[in-house]
Amino acid sequence: MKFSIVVQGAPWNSASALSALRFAETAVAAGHDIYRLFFYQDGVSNGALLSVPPQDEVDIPARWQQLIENHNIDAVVCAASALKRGILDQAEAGRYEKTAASLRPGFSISGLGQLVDAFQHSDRVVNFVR
Amino acid sequence: MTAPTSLLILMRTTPYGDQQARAAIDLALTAAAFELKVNCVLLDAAVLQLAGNQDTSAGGQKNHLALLSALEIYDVEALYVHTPSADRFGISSASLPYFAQPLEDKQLQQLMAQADQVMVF
Amino acid sequence: MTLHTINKQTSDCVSHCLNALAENDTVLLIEDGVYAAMTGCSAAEHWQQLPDGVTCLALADELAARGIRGQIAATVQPASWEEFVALCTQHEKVISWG
Repeated sequence: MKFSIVVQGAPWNSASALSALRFAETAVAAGHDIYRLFFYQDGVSNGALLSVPPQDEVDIPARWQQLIENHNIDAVVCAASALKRGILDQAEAGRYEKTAASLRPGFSISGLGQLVDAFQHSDRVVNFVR
Repeated sequence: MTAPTSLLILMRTTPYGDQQARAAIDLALTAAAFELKVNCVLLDAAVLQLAGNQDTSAGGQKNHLALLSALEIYDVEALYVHTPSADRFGISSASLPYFAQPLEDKQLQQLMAQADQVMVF
Repeated sequence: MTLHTINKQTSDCVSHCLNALAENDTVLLIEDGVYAAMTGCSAAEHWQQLPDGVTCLALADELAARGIRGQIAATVQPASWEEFVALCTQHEKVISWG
């Protein structure tokens, strides 16, 4: 089946980020396709390049990156949510004349329309709320 | 031609305290722009999004009642108010604005059964 | 048939989910929602009075993490992550109540 997964919780702040990650990993291991990961509201922090987790804790953003790159998954960070939280790719950092980009490789910034598109084209959409 | 995807947005939170209610409206508008069939329901404390005379001029927030009134202009099918929730929070049917309709439990269940996707905010 | 997930133990989340249940739906408790499976909590009696064909499950890893595996209502079954994924495929849609 084609799954899309909506991630609304920030890593470490909310258990839902790790839940979403474990669900995604399990779905892939079970042979399902992930049509899109959509990081929304506080969930955009899962795509943060500059976060440094404690050594003895699960590095959630890094694990997402690994899953995304190993399986070529479309991982979208919601633009409106990301910009206000300081998660910017190179293009947005340039456009807004910010000193650094902060989006992790593997993730892309796009609009809420990508979530709507996921509703239209996925077999199942699973939402991990904060 | 296949039927458009239908989306039901259930709102459970009050306005201004966090971003959930705004996010729900943004999603409703975006989905309607993509020609999904979108219905919104105010449930629980979210009925307080309809409390009258919201004056945000001092703090500068976007007036939430005005945002809700825009839903039907931008092709959202309907904004419903869950009647038992409205009763609980003192919002009377008579005081509902023109852009909001009452909804009983049974009708809510039907909306949920019929929707392709349900998002709870 | 709908799969409902609950990730908090607050009574509002649980009661809205319960009101929304239809025949043959399934409830899956995840994260702090697993606390709602505990015997003696206000939700416990509801899991014994579910509509026809409705089952309630709780993620086993979450029960174990919280140390409450032995204290949940008999009618609530532990479930694995693999079962969570499978449940999604077996139901037409998934509603996350928060």
